[in-house]
Amino acid sequence: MTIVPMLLMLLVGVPLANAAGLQSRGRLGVVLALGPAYLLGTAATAIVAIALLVVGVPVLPAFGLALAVVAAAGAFASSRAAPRQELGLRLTAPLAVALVLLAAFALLGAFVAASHPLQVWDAWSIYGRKAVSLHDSGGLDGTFFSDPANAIMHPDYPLLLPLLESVRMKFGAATNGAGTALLTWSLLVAYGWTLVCLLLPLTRWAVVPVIAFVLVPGVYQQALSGYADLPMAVFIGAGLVFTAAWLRTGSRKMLAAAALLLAAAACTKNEGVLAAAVVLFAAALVSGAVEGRRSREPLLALACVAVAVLPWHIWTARHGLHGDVPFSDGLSPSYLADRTARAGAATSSLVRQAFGPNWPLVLPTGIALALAAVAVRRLRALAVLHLLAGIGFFAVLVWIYWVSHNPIGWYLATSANRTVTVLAFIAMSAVVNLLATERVPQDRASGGAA
Amino acid sequence: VAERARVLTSVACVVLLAIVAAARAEPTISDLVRHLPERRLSAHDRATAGGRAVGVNADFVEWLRARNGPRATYWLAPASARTDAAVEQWVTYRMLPRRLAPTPARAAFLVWYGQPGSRPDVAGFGRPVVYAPGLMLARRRGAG
Repeated sequence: MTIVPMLLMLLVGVPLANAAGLQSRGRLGVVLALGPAYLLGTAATAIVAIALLVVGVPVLPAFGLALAVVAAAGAFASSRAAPRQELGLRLTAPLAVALVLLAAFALLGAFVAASHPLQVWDAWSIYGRKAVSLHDSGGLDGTFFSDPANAIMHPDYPLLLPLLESVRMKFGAATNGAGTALLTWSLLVAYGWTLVCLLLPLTRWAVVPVIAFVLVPGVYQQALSGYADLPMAVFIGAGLVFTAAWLRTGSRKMLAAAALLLAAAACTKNEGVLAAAVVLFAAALVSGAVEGRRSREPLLALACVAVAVLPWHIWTARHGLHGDVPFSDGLSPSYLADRTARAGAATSSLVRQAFGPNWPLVLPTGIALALAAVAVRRLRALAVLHLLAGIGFFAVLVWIYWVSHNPIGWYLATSANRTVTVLAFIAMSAVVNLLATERVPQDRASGGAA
Repeated sequence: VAERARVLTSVACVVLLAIVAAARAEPTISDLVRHLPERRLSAHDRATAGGRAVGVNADFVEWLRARNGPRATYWLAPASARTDAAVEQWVTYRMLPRRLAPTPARAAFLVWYGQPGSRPDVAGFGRPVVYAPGLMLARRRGAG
């Protein structure tokens, strides 16, 4: 029963994936589209459900209504979608073996995640606590979120993860948090599936980095932890992959899918808003270098992201809930100048983590491929998009540590290993996108344009 | 030249990532397999794993949950329990939907999470029920 909400989000995501032009003809085409369908369905359902929660709709009706809205929107968009195209992929024996191994790994992880206890501090104290409150009170309880006894749970953090977990609790999941990882693990699986769906038809080699990536400790261990950093990174990483697909093909449907996923990232963690802005500003900057791409399109996508997070931020402002990042101080040159040592400490710690044993060769390969592609005219925009996204988000992280009031040593020691996760997902997007340039079938390169 | 350099970089990156995949396969799968016995854990063990991981007596908190209704409010004492982040956060998380009262006077019961040998010293609560030395529960005096 506890996987029913996840299956429902997959179901309403199928027409969204179809509308985005992700479903190709044939059984393999339909199966490959299930990964992005799950991500899109989850993103859309959670965004709508959070907006409904904020206006006072209880958890289960909000989830049900959100499913209905997304299903209707998906069916409408899907009815206007172009006919499905050929997949352009022949399932060779080595490729089939690689996909079966990936599927076996996904199942093993799901088997573990389904009973894994919620052990990691922030996972139970922040996200578990909110999920239990949503489950017990049946909706958003302003007195709970403003209670000083719960201030340690960062009441202003967005609700995507706690909301979805509370829905699973309504469907019978344990309220003690055991099995929460099934949700985060499923998002990781859908991310890998999305890379395979989007990029395997362009190059079979894309399967190698996907296998390596899911096996590194920074990825699979976090998927079992219950932290929100990995789900946010999944949405940012997939959003960047779709943004790159827009840049490559000109398909506005790809950019719409990117906006939806980036909005979900912004509804998962506060940094998600900044990461989404970095990705879409980078896309706007490089769009001028590609014929037929307009910079106003990613900026419009950014406006959609802002609209998606607005209900939650209005609710938190109305209840006097503020984050611990002092944004106004953080733009003051004198404030920044007084604490430059923090910037240095943050930079060295983040670099150490990003290039450390949790992410073996992930960032170096992403950077190497992007730098090599910058020199090639036809790939320059794609490479610069990833370099700007990576550098931009790194700068955002340094700035957050720089301006925060938290003791820097403690802050870095307890979070730097997780906050670099988005950088690894940006690097992975660079790797698969820049490998997938050897052969671009004409039907995909032009046929997807809206 | 640039295209050739890029293709060589691509090949090198695929080879390196294949090596990463080969090197990580065994430790990652072993790590996941190591977690499989968690399926046989009792509901109690799953519920207390997070508290035990941060050094809290999580069994005591489950004992408290079993003895107080979901609407009851409580006060956490002594002061050291409220300043110990692990104790304060685990207790307020697992006791949900029971809420920590803003003052002892508004609490229906007292959770005493002290050192062995310590005794509750908060006015207004009755004789404590001892779970273990230093870990006690006391109800508001006069409450049914």
